[in-house]
Amino acid sequence: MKALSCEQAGLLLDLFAAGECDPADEKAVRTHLGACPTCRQTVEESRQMLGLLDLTFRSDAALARLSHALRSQTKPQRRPPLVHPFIQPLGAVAALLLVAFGLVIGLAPVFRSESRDQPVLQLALVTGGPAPPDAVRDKKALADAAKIVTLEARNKAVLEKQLASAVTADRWPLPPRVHLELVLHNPGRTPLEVQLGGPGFALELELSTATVIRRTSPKPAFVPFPERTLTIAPGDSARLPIERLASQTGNRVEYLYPTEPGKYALRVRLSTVATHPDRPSSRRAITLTAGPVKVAVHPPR
Amino acid sequence: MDTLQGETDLIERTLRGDAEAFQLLAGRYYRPVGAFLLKRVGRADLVEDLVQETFLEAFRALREGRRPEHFSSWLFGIAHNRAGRWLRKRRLVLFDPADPPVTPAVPPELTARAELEEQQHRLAALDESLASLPDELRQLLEMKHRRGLTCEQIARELGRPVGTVKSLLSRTYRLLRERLTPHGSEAT
Repeated sequence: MKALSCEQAGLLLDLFAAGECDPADEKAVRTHLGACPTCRQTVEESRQMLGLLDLTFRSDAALARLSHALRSQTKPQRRPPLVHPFIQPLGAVAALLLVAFGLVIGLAPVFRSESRDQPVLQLALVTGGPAPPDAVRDKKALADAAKIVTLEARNKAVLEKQLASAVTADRWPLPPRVHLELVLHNPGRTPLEVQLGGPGFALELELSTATVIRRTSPKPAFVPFPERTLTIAPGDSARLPIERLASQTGNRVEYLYPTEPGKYALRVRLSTVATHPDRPSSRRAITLTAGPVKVAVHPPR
Repeated sequence: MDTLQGETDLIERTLRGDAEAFQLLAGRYYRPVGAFLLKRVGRADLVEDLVQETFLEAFRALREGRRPEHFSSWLFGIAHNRAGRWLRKRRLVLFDPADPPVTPAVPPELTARAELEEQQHRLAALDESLASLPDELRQLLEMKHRRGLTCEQIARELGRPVGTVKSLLSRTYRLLRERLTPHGSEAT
């Protein structure tokens, strides 16, 4: 690999900061940045500029999210009465006695108000196998886990013939296996329910090459994430195998078949809905990205 | 003066529990506070959550009867504390293992008014630059930063080569960065 001059690197720095360099350029820029404080400063300026663009273009959506959070703070949830209205006054008296008794015997902390923070979810993409479950929290563990993933390219002509001859989507060849896992982490102090599959859920896999054949089916033979709810305990992580190179939006699945050997970067974008189970009003749509993980695509056998 | 008077009215309404009034205040300060936090934590992916936390904390304080003397200074103070708390706690975050983020130190003291002016100046420069861009480039930025599409997805949607999309974006980013950077730093 030929070393870049500052002039050559300068043409790539903004795309590098935006994560849009192809792998070869990215490697060359990283090498150059290791020895060039001026270009490192430029990358930092570019990241600030990109952050301001995100703020500017996303401010409407962010203010809508804030508005929702403000409303949930000003309108307490009205829950249906647990007991017959006639008995409610008795219940209130009982509650008062319970509070008074609780204070006396030291149970007062039980009545502290819950944190009103929105659900927060963190995401990492790691290779499958021996990666430690806390890879999402630990820099070294994540670096160790983010090793290269290998898979085999499809012969384009053969694949297109197979796809054309398959009568229904369940006869399509399955996309290649990938030993990857999503690590979802709940950094909060209360349990978090996360929706997998179904409406409102999407997992998009983006491989840094255009030489990928994509096929989408609403009724695929392989569904990465069947519809269910995952509960993550406070401070805990859940590991979800990806298994095959396939994106999913709701119940629609897109198979990805790389056709050209090479080394690529794989990123994922997860959209889901998270809720604190004890506070339905905390329900919130969350979009997270993770990666890149290096993917080596070998020639077809 | 009208702006200040309007702000005072909005604060008074918020003190009485009017969330819509506070929403108007948030609309005024959302981007400056976000830009301030971006400068502090250096992580665009965290800024939105920190801004939300800042405004929710401010709203709670106002509803509890806190009456700030200077709203903007007080708000930036909350944002400053949020950023400081995050930086001190080394909150659990995600990162590219090959490119760990630089964690800037918490500044020793906050000069909120100067910060507000600086961020407003940066954002005005950005708005001015965006307004002067041709529609085609602005559309690319919308697709990239509002919708979060990658260059490949943009290229597919527009039916253009991905190399062209990257080249256009790269030139646009460079132009914007140079206009936003006071000393106009260049790779040499």
